[in-house]
Amino acid sequence: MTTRRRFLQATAGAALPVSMHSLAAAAISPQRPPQFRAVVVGSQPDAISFGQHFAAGGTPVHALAEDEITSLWLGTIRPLWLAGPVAIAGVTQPATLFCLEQLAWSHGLRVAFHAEHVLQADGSTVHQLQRGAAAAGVTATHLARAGATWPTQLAQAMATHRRHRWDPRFGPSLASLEPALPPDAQLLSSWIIAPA
Amino acid sequence: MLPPNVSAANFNRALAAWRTAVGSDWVFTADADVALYRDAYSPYWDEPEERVASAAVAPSTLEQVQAVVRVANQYKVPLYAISTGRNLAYGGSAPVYSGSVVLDLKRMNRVLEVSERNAYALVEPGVSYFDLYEHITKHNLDVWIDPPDPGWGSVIGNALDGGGGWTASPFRDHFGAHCGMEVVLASGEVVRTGMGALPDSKSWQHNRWGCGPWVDGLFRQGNMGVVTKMGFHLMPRPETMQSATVMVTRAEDVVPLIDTVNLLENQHVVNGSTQLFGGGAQWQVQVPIYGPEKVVRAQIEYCRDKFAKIAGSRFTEGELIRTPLDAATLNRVRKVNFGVPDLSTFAMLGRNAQNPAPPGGNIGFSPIIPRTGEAVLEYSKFYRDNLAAISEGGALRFQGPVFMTNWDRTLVAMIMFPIGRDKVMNAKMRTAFEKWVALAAARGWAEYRAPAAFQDQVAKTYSYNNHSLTRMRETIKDALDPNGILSPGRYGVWPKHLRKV
Repeated sequence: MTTRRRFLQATAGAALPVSMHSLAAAAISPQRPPQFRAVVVGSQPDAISFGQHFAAGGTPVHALAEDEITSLWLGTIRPLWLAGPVAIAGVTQPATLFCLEQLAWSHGLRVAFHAEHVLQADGSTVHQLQRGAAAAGVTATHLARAGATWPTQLAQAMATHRRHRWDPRFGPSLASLEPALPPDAQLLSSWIIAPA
Repeated sequence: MLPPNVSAANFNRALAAWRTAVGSDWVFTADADVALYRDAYSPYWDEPEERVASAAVAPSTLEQVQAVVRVANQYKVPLYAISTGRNLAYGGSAPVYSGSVVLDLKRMNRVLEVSERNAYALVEPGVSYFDLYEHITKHNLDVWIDPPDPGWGSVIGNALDGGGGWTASPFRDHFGAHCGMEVVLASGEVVRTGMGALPDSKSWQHNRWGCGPWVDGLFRQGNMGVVTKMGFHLMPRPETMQSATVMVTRAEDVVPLIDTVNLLENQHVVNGSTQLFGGGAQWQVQVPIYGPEKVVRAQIEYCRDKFAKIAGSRFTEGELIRTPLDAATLNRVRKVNFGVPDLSTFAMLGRNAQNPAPPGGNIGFSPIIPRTGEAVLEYSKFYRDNLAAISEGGALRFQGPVFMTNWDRTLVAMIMFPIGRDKVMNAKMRTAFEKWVALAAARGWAEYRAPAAFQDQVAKTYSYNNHSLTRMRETIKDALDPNGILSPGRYGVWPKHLRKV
């Protein structure tokens, strides 16, 4: 089992070792090599839980220090996308999604799933699903019922996310502009960027 | 959506002709595709007044650009040229004139030449700072680029919009550091400027002026042509960089502090991007110097002597950093100061302890004020005096003023405006922005660069002699682009048929 310590150590600036099996890659993009990646903000417990689920399945997971994406972009995602459009998923701050989305467009990828998670001061979390919920088979109610385990539930849903032939090609997500939040609340974004 | 004043039949003919010219894969008309050209930080986001495109066309060669422009001219379809479309906070990739077709040049992404020997590059509009950095690194060339913050945008696009960076002068004034252009005019004709006008020129990137009137400035923040190539002077990698910080603790000492910075910059002793911080009684300035170690150490000592003349000032020498930087050093310094592009600005603008409720987007009010301490104090008072009224008692959370001394002889007193999903708040921010523009202009301060939504208002503040500068620009526009197809309205220059009385 992947522990939090092992996860953080392994993902401090580098991905966990790549396994040949990738649950998410198989689900999202069955015709492509298992190169699916997950990206999480490394200092946020919910994001870490999300990443642990993928890491346990052998998916390379990148933990961002302070949401700094330059090295992730130059070192991993850009070379990956220069070789071909490969799906990635994450739980990050909105700014990270915004940057990756803008960069994704030039490589033939769009945001296929986007949800926002408002972490309230009282410890509860409010979920708003912006796009792709049907393909992931997840609802805000479902995530709310999951309580503190929502990151794991979400990761499971994303791992089975299936884009349908009749899915629309999406325009820009809402990542660039943030909603007003209650005092002391934090906002996390969960997302899948996939070939359009 | 149809372009304004273009019939459906003619628009369809234009689209068909563009498909023939660039390939059907590179003409975008589906809503989801065209929506990618929205301005991510539009102060009119999701409101009827938001400026949006009707379609987009993405050529990959000079000849295709010529063909696209000729078709636009034939059917009088307005185009809006972008490079990589990352001009965030100043309009992004959205057209100034809603309904224009975006002429997307990001497929023209070739680094045509980098000369280490003469320290220059020749690139196409789709080349980003990341691309150029990667090219230089891959070929182990001993020159630096000067990336802005962030570094994902186009080298040409940033220069043409008036952007700047963070290394040494003169390289960090991106338009100022350019040398030679290739431009497609509205007629489809190709012009090369400076020495590039000679057939088989061997010195296009060696001298920017050529002979005769210099026209490159027409294309800075302009709409007189589509720039398809541009040369830039690069900085030979400096051996070292060392910075010093000078602090004063009396408000009036900001006057000799800035005078001394000006002297040192104008003497070319300090060549890095100085930064002024503070307010009230306490001010400090950072003075970075790039160059050979022996020279830099002597320059730092010279700076120490000069600042010592300000009684009570404190001079703190920073670490001398040798280049090339190892990975550990690069990770602890601000990368853009060392010619390395990055995206950390988005993390800084994101949610953090200092900024617990970021709106996501922002736009900047960027007036130029005199580079004197007196002007800094006057502007600070001006800001304080008007803040309560314009901010509705503090309800509108501007950030400023930030005094930016990035460019030689120039001081920009920026105020940042947050833009989010709250349309009511965005409307208030727009009103506040307009008030700052008007109030500043009344004091003789005007912006060097503006978000698309405010370019008209800012252009009108340059009103000396009954707007003679604007009228001259319009005369040139009418001559070069009689059908007004190229980026109508960009920076307040409208073609005749769209000109407001």
